[in-house]
Amino acid sequence: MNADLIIARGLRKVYPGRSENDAPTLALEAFDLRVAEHEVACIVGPSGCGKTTLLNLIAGFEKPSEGELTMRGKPVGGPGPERSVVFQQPALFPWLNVWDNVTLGPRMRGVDGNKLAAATERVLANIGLEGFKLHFPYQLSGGMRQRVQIARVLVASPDVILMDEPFGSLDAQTRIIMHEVLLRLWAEYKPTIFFITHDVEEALILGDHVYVMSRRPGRLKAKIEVPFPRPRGYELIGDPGFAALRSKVVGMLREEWETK
Amino acid sequence: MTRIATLRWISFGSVVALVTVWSIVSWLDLARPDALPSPLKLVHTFVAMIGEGYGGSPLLKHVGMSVMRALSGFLAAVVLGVPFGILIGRHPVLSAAVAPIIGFFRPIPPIAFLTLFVFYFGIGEASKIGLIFMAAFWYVVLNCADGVRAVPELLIRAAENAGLSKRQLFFHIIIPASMPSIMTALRAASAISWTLVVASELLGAQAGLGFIILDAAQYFNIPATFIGIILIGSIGLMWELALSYVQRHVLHWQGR
Repeated sequence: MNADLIIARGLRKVYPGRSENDAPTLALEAFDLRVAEHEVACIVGPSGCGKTTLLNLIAGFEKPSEGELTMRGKPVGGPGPERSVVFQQPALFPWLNVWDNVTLGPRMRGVDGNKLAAATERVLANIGLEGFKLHFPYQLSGGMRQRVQIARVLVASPDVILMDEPFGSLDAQTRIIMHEVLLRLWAEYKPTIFFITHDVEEALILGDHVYVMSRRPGRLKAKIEVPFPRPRGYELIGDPGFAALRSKVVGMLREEWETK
Repeated sequence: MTRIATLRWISFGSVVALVTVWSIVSWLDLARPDALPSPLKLVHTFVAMIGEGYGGSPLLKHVGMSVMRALSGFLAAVVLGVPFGILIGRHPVLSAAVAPIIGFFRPIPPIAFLTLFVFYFGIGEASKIGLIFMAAFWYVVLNCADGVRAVPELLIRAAENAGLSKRQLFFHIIIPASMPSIMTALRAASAISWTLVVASELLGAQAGLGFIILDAAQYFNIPATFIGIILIGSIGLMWELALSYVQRHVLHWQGR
């Protein structure tokens, strides 16, 4: 097994109430997590369980109220390109074309132009955006916009890719295509991926581990190994082992919905 | 494309219809001819005014004076108002400090300050341009501030995540993302500037389109008054069209 990349110990996150009558919200409590290098870690949990809070903490958009959160042994600070996020909504800059959207961060950080251009060409070709370099976001479909976000993240060559239900707003067919794209890209670049979803099937197709969260305040309920060999494809869904694992995870989530 | 072409023809047709009805009304003497001159009479008056000028100055000078005043006030409002608005949009403290002042002055029709401005700045250009500037300035400031505040948090997070510095975030994200509001501000400010130039010329101007209207009406020279009004309308329309052309180019990425 690879070395741990991200470690969370006893994470706690409280959001203060907006007024005196508004009680504070405890989003995460005593949350422990270990994500290994090159792992695809899929986090599932009932809605409102603090999945996105967890991602925001790792991304550095928010700070934990208590606990320890480290990457490569160093405390996680503010947002940065080493922890690149693929947002649920296509967070593209509408005034920039695809090429400029993908290269903005590295250009601003002063990455060598020739190297950047070569890397960008390669990623865009890999992700099926070759003919769209000069397109603007408004000219792209939802699936294509998410491809641009993923391309942007790959070009940044981060230590971890944080994905917050990136395919949640796509139609079922496009979602399957995007799963295949992501599986193919992982095989090529082997990035560490931290993937939040509410879709158990998606988690089992993509993940090395599925991390099941409890209802709010979110804790880690179980870490389940996904044993199916890579490269994976969609035929995996027909596998009896897949169905069994799926009902196991759904059963765990059901316990969380039902014990109110 | 055909639909747009059809709509253009409809717009053109309505202008033709208006002029036709107007001609019929004056030919049939449905209105007093001294109150509503016929379109043909206005064409003659216009040609005459091009040749002879008005009130001792060439027509072009009148147009030039009005445009100069409006443009000076407008440009000053843009040059100072855009940065100030962006600053306010970014800094809640500054915004809180300025909000009550803007809130008080904004509902007052700018023309209410005209006499005061003449008292402070004299009867010359300064009071006129100052009035135009003041009215346009608040519009620019408010629109730009709103635009900056409305930049989606998602884009700011995406930029921070991409590793942009505070300065890069400002120039490469906040400014372009606010561009639609800035363009709206420019259009509103230009309309206000042009409206106010006429009003400001009603007091103590020796040249300008507002001067023509006031002066001609005082001598019951109704055709010349109409020419003044039509010129104001036409120039305002051309200005508006030019700005919307610029806006479409600057904001081409909105895909409209």
